[in-house]
Amino acid sequence: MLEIKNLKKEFGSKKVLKGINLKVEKGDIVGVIGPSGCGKSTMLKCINLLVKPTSGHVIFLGDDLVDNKRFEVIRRKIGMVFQQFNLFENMTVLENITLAPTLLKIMSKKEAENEALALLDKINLKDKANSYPHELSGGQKQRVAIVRTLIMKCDIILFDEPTSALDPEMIGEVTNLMRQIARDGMTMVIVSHEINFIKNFCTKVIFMSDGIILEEGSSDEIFNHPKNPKLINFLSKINNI
Amino acid sequence: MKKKLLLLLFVLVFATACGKKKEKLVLATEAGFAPYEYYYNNEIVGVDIDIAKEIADKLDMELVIKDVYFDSIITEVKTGKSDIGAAGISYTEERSREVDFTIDYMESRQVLIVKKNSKINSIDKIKNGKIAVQLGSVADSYLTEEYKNITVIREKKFLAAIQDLKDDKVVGVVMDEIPARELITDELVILPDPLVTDHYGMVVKKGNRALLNKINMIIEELKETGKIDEFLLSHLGVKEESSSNNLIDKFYYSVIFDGRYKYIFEGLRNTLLIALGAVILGIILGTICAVIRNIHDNTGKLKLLNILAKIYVTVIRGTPSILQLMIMYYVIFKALSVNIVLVGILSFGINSGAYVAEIIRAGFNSVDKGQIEAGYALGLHYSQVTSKIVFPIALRNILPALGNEFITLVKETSVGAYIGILELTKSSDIIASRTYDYFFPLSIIAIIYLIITLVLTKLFSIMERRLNHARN
Repeated sequence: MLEIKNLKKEFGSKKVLKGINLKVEKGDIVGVIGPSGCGKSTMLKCINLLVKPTSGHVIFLGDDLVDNKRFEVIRRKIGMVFQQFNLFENMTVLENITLAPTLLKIMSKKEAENEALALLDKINLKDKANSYPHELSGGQKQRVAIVRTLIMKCDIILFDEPTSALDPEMIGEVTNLMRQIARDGMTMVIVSHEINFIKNFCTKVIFMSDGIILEEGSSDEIFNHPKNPKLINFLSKINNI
Repeated sequence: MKKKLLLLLFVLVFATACGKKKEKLVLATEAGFAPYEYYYNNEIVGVDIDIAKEIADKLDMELVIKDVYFDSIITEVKTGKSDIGAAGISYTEERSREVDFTIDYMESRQVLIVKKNSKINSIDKIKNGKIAVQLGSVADSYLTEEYKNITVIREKKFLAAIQDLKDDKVVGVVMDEIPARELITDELVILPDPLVTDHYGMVVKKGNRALLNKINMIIEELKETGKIDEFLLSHLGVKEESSSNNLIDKFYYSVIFDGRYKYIFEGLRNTLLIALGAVILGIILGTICAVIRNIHDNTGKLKLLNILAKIYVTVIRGTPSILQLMIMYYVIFKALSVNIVLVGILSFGINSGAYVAEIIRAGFNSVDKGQIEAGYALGLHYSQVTSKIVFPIALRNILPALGNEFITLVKETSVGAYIGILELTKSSDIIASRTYDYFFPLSIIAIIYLIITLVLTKLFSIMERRLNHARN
């Protein structure tokens, strides 16, 4: 479904990504772990071209997004969930969800609203449809943000540290929603520091360090049988907490 | 949208430029110099005006009177904005280098006015004292040249000079004798010996011999038939009755008497008109500039326009608005006879646009980058993200700064008087030039400005509240 080939990104003289190669199949739940500043988030943003790669290819459902004039259309099918939720502060929950499908003429306003209300109903936030983002808790905001990607009928969702800005008691409601979506067959790439969540949830885990993927494997391989010394070191630090 | 507005602007400019029947004779003066020119019954009248009317009649032209500052009269005539200038202008070498003088029509004596209880009985008694004059008047150049030990205080209006004397800020005022008689009060006295005698002439654009000769002939005839003396007599003793210190009387003479509230109404109308027009123009220009710069900063496109926008903002913010107004009027619109209120709207609008551009740009930059990214991630285009997310959020953030800019703009329009616009501040000047008292006219105008500001503040706080319902 998604293939990243020799992806490089430099900010000035700083090389953040030094050649990433990754394949994601339909239904994969890919966890991305690694120390802070290793390029995890940049890689994620390069996938949907929020950050323009310096070189390399991002092939999504057969189309290369890099230097593609239609990348804005292709991008619609790649959902993204951010650490800081990034709900539009000037719009209600309902408007947040219906903005893109109506503006891009994917649905009529009425259709979008019905669809949005149905999705909100599923996550028990229908009563918040006309609330503004600041009236919601962190967990509620993140769930609305996830629904905002779902209405686009996306094929894959990129999660950029979806729980790290949440209070501990709210993490569960977000990860539960993610599990639910995964059960329905959604493909996901998740950057997270919630090691236990990654360990139990992901079908595939990659370990990044200093702009490259050092190790890649099943959750069991990465967490129970790590090979790369840097990964072993990384895991030991986490387990010491 | 942009094209339509531009078209509308051109139509407006040309509509005001064209469409005259009888040819106009434009007279530049500063009404506030009784008996030569002053406001009476909402009209500018006086000896100079009577003469100018005779000239216009004989030339079969329609007389149009423009009330500007005294030091702007020469510029008006020089640039061709006005055909003749008459305001008790004394002949001097310096002035005759700029414009041509007609033959003189009146002899004037420059006298020294002091307080009644003053020990000064001659100008030579003043050692290192201060004397007030009107800026650019004969008294100004005479004192500056001849009495180097005297500090000359140059006031925009000689009424302000008289006020300085009353307030003991200066020891004397030097000015023309006849108007001096019209305005001295019980506490002041005119010293009998004139410092210097000079002659009044009218001025026309240099080299306009045809007009000059015709005017000279008419003035000659008026002098011979004794008409000018008649004019002078009819205008003497029109001095205000309000020597009483009673507040109600003062209010009466400042506002009610002679329909003076009409000046305030017209001033208010022009001030509001210019402010409103300039605000609209400023928002349009400012938004265009900010959007150009934002597009450039985000996409790297529109390089040339971005440079132009930067230059515009730098130049406009780097120069005083009064200069811009005068350049607009005396340089850019030199050849066109354009409605001055329109010139005011253009000049203040262009000025405000530069500030609005920076305010909006700051507003754009204040929008959380994450929300913009979220918009793009959903597949929205730059224009959709800008119009639906960046602009509404930015607007809310910049509303207080924008309100501040508009309040400043309203007050800034008071410099419009420099090109002869009768705006609010000017209306108080006119009234004060008749009542010889600044306190009431200035207080009334101040209160009106304050009310405008309060209304604006209220409007903006309502808007802020409406937009803020979505904010924590």
